[in-house]
Amino acid sequence: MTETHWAYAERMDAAGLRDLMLAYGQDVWNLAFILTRSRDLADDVSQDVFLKAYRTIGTFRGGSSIRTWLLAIARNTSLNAKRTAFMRRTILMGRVADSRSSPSAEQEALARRVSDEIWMQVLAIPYKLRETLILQAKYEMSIREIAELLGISEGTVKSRLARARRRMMDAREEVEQDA
Amino acid sequence: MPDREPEWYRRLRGNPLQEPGFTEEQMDRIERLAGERSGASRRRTESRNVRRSSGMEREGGERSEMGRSRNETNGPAANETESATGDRVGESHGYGESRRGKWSGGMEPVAGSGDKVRTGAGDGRTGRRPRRIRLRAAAAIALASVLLALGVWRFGSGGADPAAPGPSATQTVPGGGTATTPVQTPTPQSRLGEPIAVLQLKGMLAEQLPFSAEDVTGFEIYAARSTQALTVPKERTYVLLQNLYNLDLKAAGMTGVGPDHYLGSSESATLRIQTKTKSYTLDYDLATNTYGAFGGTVFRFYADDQVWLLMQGLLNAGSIWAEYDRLSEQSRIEAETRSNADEPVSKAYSPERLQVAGSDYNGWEKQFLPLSSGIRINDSYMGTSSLIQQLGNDEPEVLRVGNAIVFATDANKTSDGVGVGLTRDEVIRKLGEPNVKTNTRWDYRIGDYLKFHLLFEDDKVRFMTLTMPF
Repeated sequence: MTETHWAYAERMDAAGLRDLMLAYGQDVWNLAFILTRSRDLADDVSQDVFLKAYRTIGTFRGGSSIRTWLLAIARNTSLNAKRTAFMRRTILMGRVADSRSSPSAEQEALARRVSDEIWMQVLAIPYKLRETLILQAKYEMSIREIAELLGISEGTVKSRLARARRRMMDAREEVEQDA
Repeated sequence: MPDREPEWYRRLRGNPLQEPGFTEEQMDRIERLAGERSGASRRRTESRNVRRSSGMEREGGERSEMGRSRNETNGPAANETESATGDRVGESHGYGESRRGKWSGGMEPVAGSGDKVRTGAGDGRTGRRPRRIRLRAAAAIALASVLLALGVWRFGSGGADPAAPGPSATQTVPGGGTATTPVQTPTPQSRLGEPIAVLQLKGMLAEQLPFSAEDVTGFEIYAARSTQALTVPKERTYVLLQNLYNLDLKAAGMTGVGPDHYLGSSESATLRIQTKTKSYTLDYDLATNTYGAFGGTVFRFYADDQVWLLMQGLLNAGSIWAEYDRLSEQSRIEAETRSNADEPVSKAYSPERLQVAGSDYNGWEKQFLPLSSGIRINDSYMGTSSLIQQLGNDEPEVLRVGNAIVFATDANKTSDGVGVGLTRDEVIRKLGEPNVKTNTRWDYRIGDYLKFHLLFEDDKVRFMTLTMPF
């Protein structure tokens, strides 16, 4: 399927949806995971992204690439999902957890699953810096594309990228010193 | 970028996890859900009715749709494929609502009909009945006997051991909660609970807190030189919990000597965190918007803008900030209980019509840049640090807080003449219907986002706000 095809599609059939998922499913899931830091939430977010794309493909007019469009939906859905999850966990569900072991237990579980220790450092930096860094480093988006996706100025994107890199370099130095 | 690309940067092109995240099974499930859309509308109505009758409906049916659509494939709501979280992206970006507005209370998984409901990450896959969170444990404050030197100094009691809290009166406080007013002198911090100690000045505070968020039953604020203990309304405890849990100790650390200019009260206060088993204390200084007294160190940590507004409402009730906080909070609660009939209007307004005095958010933000003064905030969750500021001489005319520019007087208006002081009818005549409406707040959409907002009081615009999406 070409980009042009999606730009003029009024609706999507099952085959089209499958093509879209095969082409961009992992990208969408990865972004959702990086932003939410949760495998379960990433599953939910990626599901929502493709269902929304299926339903609203008629509104996509090719202003950006279909990949960028999907990533934008994934980013916004992840942001909402993350916030909701925190609220559920802390306020609404009222679940009892071991206060001292929870954060580190989560960290350990995550550390066992990541493909590269660098991801633990990326996942530790603040959300805004993380998403900006990842959109550039992993998804190879330009400053302008990131600015449009996030709804912020290019200057702000540059500033966040610089801060994100600084955080990462600090983290790398700490790791090297500890080693 | 490629020229000076560090080694770690290239490694980010791979997948974050060892195993694939997006699987064939997931694709099958999504296809099934998409294919079943034809009956979704009818079943959606049925599902909502179930939730309504259970008192479980939330704002716009949002949130739970995410998990439910994946896991209720055999239940009545299996085909509920409308991804509200994605659809309403724009709605989550006003007033910092995205950080709080969608966290509506009363959200519970749907039980019954044999439906399996996923309640969120790590929450398990079957519906579970949430326990009620108790607001407060018993009123009696237990009996710690030794008065620390800090307490003596702080409350100026000259070494006298203040009496333990006795009978108290309840009063309404901003935000709709209640405040308890002890009749005797303030209790020193050491008697209110165990001071929170932080041993490492890096990482997240959550890793060092001696309690879990789930165990917190309430917050009280003890203002210095005051006999009042204020209870943080239950529906706003998340503001403090979220900030404390996400506090990046390194990024939020206070450096320098604080703000050049002070906008509000200089009262410092003691934050008392009540859990199921014991209480903990933490300093909060309104003058600098910082937490402190972590284990007796001199380090202080900036709170975020939501904490600042909450504290203004509690400790500085007559201020313009408290007024803004009160109406914002009121509108948030209304938004959460908004009926599903009030679906947002999709119409987008032209950016020019929603500029104020010829400037959009970015334009107004530049007017604040020359100001070096303000109250610093640090939002560790979002990774931002900025200042709370105001423009105006005799009275605050324009406020800047978080991602919002707030117009507090009629000195600045849109090109249609919309501004503070107009009635609802006048706003509709001049501008038109809002995209999202509650009794207190109207939101207008520019592009994909709700960026222009009106807060009403007594049927007139009290605050007009421009916001920048996250």
